[in-house]
Amino acid sequence: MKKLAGLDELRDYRLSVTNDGSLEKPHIWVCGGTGCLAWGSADVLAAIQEEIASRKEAVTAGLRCESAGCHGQCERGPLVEITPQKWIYHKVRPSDAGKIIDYALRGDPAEPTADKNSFTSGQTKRVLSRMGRMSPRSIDGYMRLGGYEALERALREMTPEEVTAAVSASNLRGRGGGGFHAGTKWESCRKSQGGVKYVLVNGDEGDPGAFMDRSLMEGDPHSVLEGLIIGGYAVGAAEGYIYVRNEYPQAVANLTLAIDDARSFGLLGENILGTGFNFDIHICRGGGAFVCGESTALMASVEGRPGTPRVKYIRSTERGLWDAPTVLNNVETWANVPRIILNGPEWFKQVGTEGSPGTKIFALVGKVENTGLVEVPMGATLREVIFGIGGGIKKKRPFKAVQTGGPSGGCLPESALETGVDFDTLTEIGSMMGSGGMIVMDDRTCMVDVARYFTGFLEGESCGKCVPCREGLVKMRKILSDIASGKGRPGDVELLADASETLADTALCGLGQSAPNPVLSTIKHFRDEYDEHINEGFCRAGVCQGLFTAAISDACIGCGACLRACPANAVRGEAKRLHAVDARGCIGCGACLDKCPVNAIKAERRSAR
Amino acid sequence: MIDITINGKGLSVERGVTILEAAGELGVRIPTLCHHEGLPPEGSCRVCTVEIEQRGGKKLVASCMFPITGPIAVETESDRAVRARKFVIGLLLNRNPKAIAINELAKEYGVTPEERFASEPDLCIRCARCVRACEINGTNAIAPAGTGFGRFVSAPYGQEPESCVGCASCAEVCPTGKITYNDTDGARRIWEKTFDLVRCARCGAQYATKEQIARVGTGEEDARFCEKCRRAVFGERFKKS
Amino acid sequence: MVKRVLMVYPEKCTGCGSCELACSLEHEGEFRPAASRIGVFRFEEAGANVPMACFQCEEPACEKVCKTGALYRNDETDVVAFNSDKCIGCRMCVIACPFGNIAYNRTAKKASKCDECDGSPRCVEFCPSKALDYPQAEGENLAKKREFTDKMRKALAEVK
Repeated sequence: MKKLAGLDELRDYRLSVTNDGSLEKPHIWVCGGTGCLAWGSADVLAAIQEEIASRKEAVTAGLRCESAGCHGQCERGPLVEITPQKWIYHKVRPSDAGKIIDYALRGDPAEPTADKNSFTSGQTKRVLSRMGRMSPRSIDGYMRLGGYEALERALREMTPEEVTAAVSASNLRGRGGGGFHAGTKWESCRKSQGGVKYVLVNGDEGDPGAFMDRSLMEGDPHSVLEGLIIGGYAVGAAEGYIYVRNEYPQAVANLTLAIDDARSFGLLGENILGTGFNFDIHICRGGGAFVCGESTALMASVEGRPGTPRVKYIRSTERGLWDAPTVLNNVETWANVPRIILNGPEWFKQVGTEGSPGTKIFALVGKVENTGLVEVPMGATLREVIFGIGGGIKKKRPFKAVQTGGPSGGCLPESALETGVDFDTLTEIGSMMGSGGMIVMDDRTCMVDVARYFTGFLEGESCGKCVPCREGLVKMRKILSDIASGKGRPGDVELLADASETLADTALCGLGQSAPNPVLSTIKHFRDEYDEHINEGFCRAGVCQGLFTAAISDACIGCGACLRACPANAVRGEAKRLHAVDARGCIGCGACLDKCPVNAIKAERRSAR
Repeated sequence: MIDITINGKGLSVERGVTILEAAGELGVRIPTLCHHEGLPPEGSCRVCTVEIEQRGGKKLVASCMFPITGPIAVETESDRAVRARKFVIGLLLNRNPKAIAINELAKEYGVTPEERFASEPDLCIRCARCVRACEINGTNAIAPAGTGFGRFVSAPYGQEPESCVGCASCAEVCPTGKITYNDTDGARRIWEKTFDLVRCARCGAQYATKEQIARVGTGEEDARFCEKCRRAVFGERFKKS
Repeated sequence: MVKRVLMVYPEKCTGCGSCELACSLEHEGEFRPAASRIGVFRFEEAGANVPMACFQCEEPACEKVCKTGALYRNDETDVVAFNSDKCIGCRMCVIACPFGNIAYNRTAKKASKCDECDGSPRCVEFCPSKALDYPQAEGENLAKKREFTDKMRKALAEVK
């Protein structure tokens, strides 16, 4: 790798790799994201590579097969993509290697490809546009698809003030959940007094079920680096840190390689491309604490201190990391920056809503047919995402709720499905955007149990410094556990709501301040379930152990799956005849409810029988 | 100077002064717990919570830490502030029912214990005054360990803290009496560490640990005597001269 | 503001201890010489007595070791002041003072030293033999004080 000494050299190098003909040649990409690796995609990669090596026509045609980043439809892995046609194949096995190579060589997909399905067609890929058809471990691959052109433009044509102004004009809002206007943060840091400044990437991604940042850091690490270098240039920082949660080893590995390559090319270090701008990036690994996603706790962790937040009356853009002016933004926010610089703020605002322009990446998980990573314009409705892209509820069960924003967010009912996802609309209806987690729930989800789960999660992740969060979450969780186990008392909902609201009002940091959201939103939208648990000891979702009995309707086809699943021998029935549950023997465990292939079993009140 | 009001009374303060300091100037009392004049503020007990109105919006802040940087209207006993205070006092009462400081606050605010949420009685209220005192002395022998409800103050790995000099500042600042030390037979025992207490060469009183004397850097001669005897010794010398 | 200086004339001291009683009454609310910030040292064989109170040093050893700023020299009044709210009870000051002029009150959990009673020292008021005085800090008085401190310095030097 040769160090690029100037902006012209960078331009020439970029153009040389873009025009080297690789983009027109057939290429096979096997998804190497963590999800597909778990499906066994490493074996698929090996099988295809081996077979290519053994086929003369493949070698002559220059066919190559490489590992790429996450394609998104993680439910159907291992995923394989053939470029330049962008044909996508699902559930590929090592034995399919020959077929895939044939399709690539012949330029004929032969069987239906998955790239035109509702999962893909419903999305607007901007930040994720390179993912899946580029090696995350190749800086050439990144440049071939337009990488580092934005950096060149920024350094060549724009002053730091102009870069900051462009980000401001684009109205880019923090994608980590805060939704804070990024340009305001940058400008505030740029103007702060002080020689030393820092730019930070928040890659802690602690929300259960969220993997947007993981996929970006694994699959397109250079996009994060490029954004960070441009940010450092804009605010006057000479050092950047990427804080990656410890549980993402592949992200750390790919980011480390990307940083090393960028350094070798002279895109990091001293006098970058002869412009006099010095900037370097370090990786800092987390220690397994959700609270370290909070900005002041993250900075404490980078400084080597325990990840405990501090009171935030003085902004980090004034005094942050090591008391220096600091800009902290989320991975996805940084990844949006290069395209804003390259295409301009107006381009950025062409999609999305006025209050929240651009796109948002969501981790769509839970009871949907198509779970995975999706990118949609802000303003896309929840219905479009869940029923369009997501393919609707698994097993055709009724939709019950969608949870956005992780433990800081809220649960929204069916009436909210027409809402466009955007920072302000979601907050208005009692949830929040959060980092992008979107958990879909069906009638087999108990909302009291959901509230208890998130409260318990936060109880475990609380740093313990301030009284309201440390002691208050325990109180809230105790009430919820009582309700979920049939020991709830009249007045518990009011007690819980009061404690939740006061905790939010009094807590020291964002963890406590947003902790009550799952509780308050479920009380607001699913109050009946709370009342049923407390007043009747009944869990209509059939989740809370012992708070229901199973009842089989006459939709039963007599397959006996429930009988085999029951741990208490409480189901009776003959093959192909209507089965029945003995209510006295039923322990209310819910095993049969999930096993029935025709949704014929429901949870009922114990007293009804 | 910045103009603010506290409970309707006007006051001019310098930029950066905390609400608690400003209230003190006006003679307005705000209850505190983790706060200690001699230590850097922690902002963790939230007992000093007050409601402020700033730029048209109202919010709750910890008065011991909130720096005044612009005109604000402070209410120390608004419904919202009192509700917050009662909440944290109640939580502390459930966990630290024997702590006198907590009981006094509970009495003042009419907070009663909730048996349903009571846990194993504990004297530590996690105010971290002990940690801050040890920090400001430059010793750093103890620190908070664990997380969440399980947070507690400890020496590294729960073992004898190497850097501890046995000054017992931690015990002196502890508001509940959780931290204790034992002086018997020429030895002091604190944090499971035993220190030799130096005996005054003139009167025999146990007056300080060897390590603490070394930390202060007092010369050998002076260090032999307790403060009363040092006076006597100098008195003698002075008289002789 | 007129600066004053606490002057001690040991040759006039009868060892009656009124100063100790007055000081403890003023500061602790009871007659308790052990808690007094001024102490009288009685040397019976020599028939001499020496009252000792804080010298309000210009470069106080106690202020130097106090980490919370509870001890600080007020250059307007020439008194080394003590703010008990800031005291954390570490007792470094007690160990540091070469003269033993600062003590630690276990019950109050605070250090105790002479504060010149905010400008009207009780000990001076109640000394029957004028062994203690509180004149203005100028001319002859300063010279005398200097003589006193020189003697102390010599006494110190003997040791070091």
